Amino acid sequence: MNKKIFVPVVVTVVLAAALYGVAVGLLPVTNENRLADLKSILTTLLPGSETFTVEPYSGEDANISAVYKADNGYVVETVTDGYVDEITLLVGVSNDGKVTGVVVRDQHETWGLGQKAANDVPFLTQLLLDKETLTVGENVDGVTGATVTSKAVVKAVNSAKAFVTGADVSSSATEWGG
Amino acid sequence: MQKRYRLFTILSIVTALACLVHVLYNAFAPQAMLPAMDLLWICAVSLVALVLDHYAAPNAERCWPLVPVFGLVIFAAMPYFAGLLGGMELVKFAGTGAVSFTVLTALYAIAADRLAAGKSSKAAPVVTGLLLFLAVQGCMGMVL
Repeated sequence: MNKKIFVPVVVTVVLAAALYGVAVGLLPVTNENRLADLKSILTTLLPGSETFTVEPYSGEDANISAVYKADNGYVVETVTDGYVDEITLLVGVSNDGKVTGVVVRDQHETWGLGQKAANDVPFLTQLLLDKETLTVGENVDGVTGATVTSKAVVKAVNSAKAFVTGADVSSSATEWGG
Repeated sequence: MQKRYRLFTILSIVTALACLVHVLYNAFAPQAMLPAMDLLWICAVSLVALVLDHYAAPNAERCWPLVPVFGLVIFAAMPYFAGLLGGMELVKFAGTGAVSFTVLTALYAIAADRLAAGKSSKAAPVVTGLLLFLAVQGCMGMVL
């Protein structure tokens, strides 16, 4: 057997061990920064709130993955199907059902098209308007060339609003495609 | 080192570096949206390794039976020990990595052999890698 084959084996083992060491060593920093980042986003999405508690969600809306409760409202984490992959959003909703902020936390949509929905100010601003149910093509203009992504974002916002107001989540407002 | 095993060493280093970038971003910039660890990620890492290997040893012989084996081991070990993937997700990732790395190695060898002639020989490895990456991007919607 050729002994040279052990070179890539040894390199792989050494690098895997080094990665493990770095990952474990950075774990406290990672957790601390994640919490600080989340708190910063939560306080931005729901102005006037400083303290948030994680509220267990056991409802039937599959789009909702986490709920953070504050005195004056909620921040709801949603996961909806975009064009390429799942889109994770954090949506701030006040106790009276008004959307106070939206931020895209994770998405892998098409570069130059769906990705624009994450930071397109005119599109995202429409979601903050005080409307009963948002629908792309009716009271919301989607991002050009990214209709599916736009609908996924709108669907997430509708789900978050429905969670706070108690609206029917099985309505067409929260079905795939908005 | 014999040339035919160098590709695996390079793949291991490139994959480890890519995983390290994810670990560092998770630690110091958790708000950053990094590329998903999916087929495209695997293909990008594999093609970088293939291009570097081609420049290091243009006419290297491959030990073909070991290509999927090392693909499986490297794409399983690195994300797992970096704490990026686990469970069924890791199994799928490693399986996809083994198949993709094998297919790309074969395609790259075929394409690079034909491009590496005359004045184009210096740019051929990079161009081949870029074209294969674009091809994977284009076909991904049909495959998945």
